[in-house]
Order: sequence, then C-alpha cells, then structure tokens
Amino acid sequence: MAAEKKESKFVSAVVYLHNSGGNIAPFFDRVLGMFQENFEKYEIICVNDASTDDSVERLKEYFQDGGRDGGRDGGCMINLIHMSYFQGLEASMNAGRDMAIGDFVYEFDDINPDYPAQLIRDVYDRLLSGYDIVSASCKGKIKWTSRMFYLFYNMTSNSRNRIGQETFRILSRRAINRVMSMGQYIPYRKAVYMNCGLKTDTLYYESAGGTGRHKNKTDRNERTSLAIDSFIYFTNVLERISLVISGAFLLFTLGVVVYIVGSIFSASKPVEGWLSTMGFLSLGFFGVFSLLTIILKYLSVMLSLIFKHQRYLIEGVEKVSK
Amino acid sequence: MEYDKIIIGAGLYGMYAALYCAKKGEKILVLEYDDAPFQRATYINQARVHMGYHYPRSLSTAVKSAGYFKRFVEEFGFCIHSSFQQIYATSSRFSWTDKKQFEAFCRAAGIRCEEMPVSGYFKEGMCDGAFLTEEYTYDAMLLRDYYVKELSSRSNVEMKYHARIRKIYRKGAKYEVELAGGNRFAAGYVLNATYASTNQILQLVEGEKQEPFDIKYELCEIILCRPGKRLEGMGITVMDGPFFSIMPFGKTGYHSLTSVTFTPHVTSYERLPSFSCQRGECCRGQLANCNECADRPETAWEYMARLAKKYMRDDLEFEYVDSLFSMKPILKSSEVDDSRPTKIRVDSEEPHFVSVLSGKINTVYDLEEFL
Repeated sequence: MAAEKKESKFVSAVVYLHNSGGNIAPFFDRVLGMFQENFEKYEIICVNDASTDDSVERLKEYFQDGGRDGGRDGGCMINLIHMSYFQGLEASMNAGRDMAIGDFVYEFDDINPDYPAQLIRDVYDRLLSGYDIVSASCKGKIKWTSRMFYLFYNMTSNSRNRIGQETFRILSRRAINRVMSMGQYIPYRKAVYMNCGLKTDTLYYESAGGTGRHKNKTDRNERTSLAIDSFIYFTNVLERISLVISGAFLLFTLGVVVYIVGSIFSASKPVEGWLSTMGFLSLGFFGVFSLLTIILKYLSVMLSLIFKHQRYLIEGVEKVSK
Repeated sequence: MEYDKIIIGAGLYGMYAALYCAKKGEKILVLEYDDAPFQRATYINQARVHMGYHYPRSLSTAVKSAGYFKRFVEEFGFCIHSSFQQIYATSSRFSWTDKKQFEAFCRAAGIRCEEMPVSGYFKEGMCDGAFLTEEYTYDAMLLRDYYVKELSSRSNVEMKYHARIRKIYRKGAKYEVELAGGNRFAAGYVLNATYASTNQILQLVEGEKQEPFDIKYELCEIILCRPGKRLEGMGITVMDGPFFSIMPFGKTGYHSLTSVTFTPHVTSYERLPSFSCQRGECCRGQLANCNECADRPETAWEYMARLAKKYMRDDLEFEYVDSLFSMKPILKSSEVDDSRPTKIRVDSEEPHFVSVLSGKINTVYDLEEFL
C-alpha cells in the first residue's frame, strides 16, 4: 500500500450527521485512514442536521485530539455546516454537496461503517474507469416497504438506471455540474443522479456489522411523502393511472351511450329516462373530478419546481480542524 | 527622553498618526517591534481600498467606507491601482445576500453597481448576479516608502525599530514606556496602534486595569498569484458567505487570492493570542511576525484555488507565486452583521492612553479627532 502513488485528484467527503455520535470515531478512523493513504488533498464537510445528542462535541473532540497526537486530520480541512432545524437527509446533503470544492465528491448518507475500507477506494477506481456516479449499496436485508418502493419505482421510472439502498456514493464534478445545470429542485438525490443522463454504476457489498443499519433518518411521514413525491417527479406512474381512469370512464360513457341507444329502440321504456341520465351525469362528473385531482397534484409539483428557490436553510458554517 | 506622543506600532495607523502630529510640530517617537514599518497587516491583506461593497449587511460600515474612499484615493493616489474591472458577484447557493439584496444595498449606500453578464466570468449556475463596481487597491510598499521619506525628513520624529517594550506605567502626568535594556521614554500621550497586539500592549500597562478588547485571533494567509491574460485587468469577489476573492495586489502585478473558509488557518478565542505554534520570543504576551516565522502553516493554495476554479470560468487563469501570513484580530461583536467598525478607545486622559483597532485602511481618518 505504502508504495502506491497517492492520487493527486482533490476529493471532498460530505458526511451526514444526525444523532449519530456513537459512530463518529469508528467512521472517521476508517474513512480518514483511507483518504490519507490514497489522496494527497482532501476536505471533509460534515452536515449537522440539528443533532440533539453529543454528535458535534464528539466530532470536535475527535479532531482536536487528533491534532495533538500526530495529526489525525492530516492537515486537511474539516468544515461543519449547521442546518437551522431538522431538514432531513436530502436537504442536508444538498447543502453539503453545494459547498464541496473537490473534483470528486463522496456522499456518506450514513456513518455506520459496515463496509470494508477498501470499498471506498473501489468506488473511486470504478468511477475513474469511466463512470460519473458510482454508488455502494448494501446487499443485506432491507425493510419490505423500502423494497416495495424500490421495486415499484424502478419498474415505473423514466430512467434506465435503477436506484436502491445506498450507503455512500461518489460523484464526479461533471455529474454535479450536470445536476446543477438541470436547474432542478432536488428532492431526492438518488433519483436525480440517475436521471442526469450520465453513466452510473453500483457496487454491492455484504453488510459486515449489520447492527442498526436502517435507522430512519427522517420520520415516517416525511419518508412516505418523499416516496410519493419521488413517484411524481421521476416516474410516470401517476400519468399512467390518470390514463387508466380516463380510459375507464371513456368506456363507461360508451356503454351508457349504447344502453341509451338500445333503450330508444326497445319496447320497455325506463321510468321517464331519469335513471340513465342521472347515472351518466354523476359518474361522468366523478371521472372529471378525479382527473382534476391528478392535474392539481401535477400543478403543485410544477409550482414547487419553479418557486422553491431556497432549497435548504443553513445556520452557519464552522471550521473544525484546529 | 521626553516626547509629546509615543506611538506604538509602525503600521499605517501609527505612521499616519506620526505624520499628522509631526506636521503640528509635536515631538514624536514611534516604537516598532519589527525591523521595518508595514511588515504585517498593513501589507498583508487584500490591499483593498474599501468602498463598502464588502459589507452588504452593515450599511453603516459601507457608508463610512464610501465617504473615506474618495479622500484616500485623492491623498494617496501615488500608491493606488485603479485601472481594473472590479467585479462583485453573489453566489447562487450558500450566500447570506442575493442579487436583489446586493443591488438594493448598493443603491442605499449610493455606490456604483452595474449589472454584468454572469456568464462572462462564472461557470453556469454558480452565481446569480455579477456587478461592475468601483473599488481600488493600494500598494503598501509604495505607501511605506512615502511615509519613511516624509518622516525621516522631519527632525521631530524619531523611529525606533526592533523595540521590545517591557512595561508601561504612569509617572506623574505622563506615561513612561520601558524597553528591554532599560531605556525609558515618557510622553503625555500614548497611542496603541498595534492591531493584533493591541491587547498585549494593554496588558503591559501597570498600575491600572485596562480592559482588553473582546477579540478573537485568526492566522490568515494571503496568496499571491500571477494572473493569466484575461484575469489581469480584473478583480473578482464572490460574496457573502464561504467564498473567495481574487484581485490585483497593489501595483505589484500580482493578484491576491483569499477565501473566507481557507484564509484563516488557526483561530484563538482567548483575549491574548495563544497558538500551539508559538515558541521562543513569540508567546501569549508578544506576537512575532507570522510571515517570517519558520513554523508558519502549510499553504492552503490547493483549497483556495479549487474553490475559485469551481466558480470562475476556465479561461480566467492564475498560478501560485507566494504566500503571506499575518495575524488578524476580529471584534467578536461584529460577527453577526460582518461589520468592521473602527474602534478607538480612550482609556485615560491626562495623560492620554488611546488604543485603535481597525481592519480597514481608509478609515484611518477616524484617528484625527483623537490626536
């Protein structure tokens, strides 16, 4: 290892922190060790998403201790972004990525290091072999709701790339520029990355520790709403549903027309024609209203795409190293 | 030896005060720790003659800067470089101020602000507004030569370099300043114009309690670089947040490169500067010159350059020449609005003990009413 030449590329690591104080030391031991071995210059950007535990203290302590006993931070820059209030993984990581200056940016969504350190290098090598985004995905068990979501999402998504349970990923500057110039509000990074039209890949690994991996970073309601939003933003599933509904109503309308035409020529007259007329009208309107609901949902999405300029609110940026 | 005024510190504030008082016919002594004037913050900073653009969240600072700008440029025209395009831009992300707010601020402060095409300077999506402004840079070395010449031609001014002050105490109606080696100088007026060493000098005053300034200390790096063809006649400042500035450095032909996050290397939050790199003569009680120090930090060039390149178009090139380091005190009260007020404090009268702390060159005129 020592004989290997260090990469001269500049690498940034964006790390999400939310009440994960216990994992800070093992995570940075692994990641920093890897970075020091492989990269000449790098920076660490930690995003503190309104942690209520001792994450920030532990982080500072970790790097300050390091400064004394021989430079654990290896002279690299460590910045800490404080989110104004709890805003969830997606908004926080968007903030971190926007601040990163590296040629390549690692995004660590989770700081439980249940993968071998070598994997951090592997995704980098994979990226250099001609990809713009490479993810590391845990093969282990995932919650059935998540599995259903990914399955359904990948089935209906417009993109040729699939998404899954990802622990961390690496992006090239080109991918970041592409995502930024798409000018999109980024509600769900995985999906936007996969839709940016550049080459992507995923490396799978078996979880080593397997303890407490899938702790929810966002609360349940928020996750559900994010899942629904993602379907609207990145798949055409609602479009298809509305198509089916309007199709069904078309058929139904045709049926009623046939019935009315039939009843005109038949011997048995219905009671003053009230039943069929009212039935047709009410069901027809029902169809119109359900379509309107979907259109309204689309409109709300477009509104948020256009008007949501301030995507996240940060409280401040602080330098941790020394 | 007796004087009318003893001025501690041969930076711009000290030298300005010396010449101002010398012209009134007073007998002046200037004490300087280094072996020459202008060795620290007066020289090692962005060399900006502030028009106020830098303080979009502090209109009072801005208006004051703009007022002094004209006077400074007229008086010190010989050291001013003004023939370049100074571009201010607001970052699309992470900024405390956006395009509209910046425009509104400039209008309120009455300073020039012409919108320019963002794509002419920056990569796509990085900035939401770019403005041509009127701001200059001064050459500290030319300014130094002027002061050295002016002061050395006057018999009523004495300069003492390499001065190691041991203590300052009141004796009758005067202050006495004692140097290492036992030399004593007395005056009815002492001006403490030592910037980063202000609190250290205050601490040397015996017999009376001098409240230290509430400041923190940052060891800052200014990078000198050689601009490429297109960048030559241009200065670029992206604000207001964790961004950067690259602009001409006086008349040297170089550009200075600085960034909000990477320029400060180490910070001390104590009243007296205490850093782990201090040794020998440099200690809590006395800062040596960081720029000449063997233990100065490794350059953050890689970081700053990358940050600048992330924003600027690829045809705006620059390359590394040198790094300059100096200590910068920052008043804690000014952190929220990012203002840089000039603090002048009169700690005693008859005899006078006055301290000045200012981060801007063109507010030097504030001193006059105290001299």
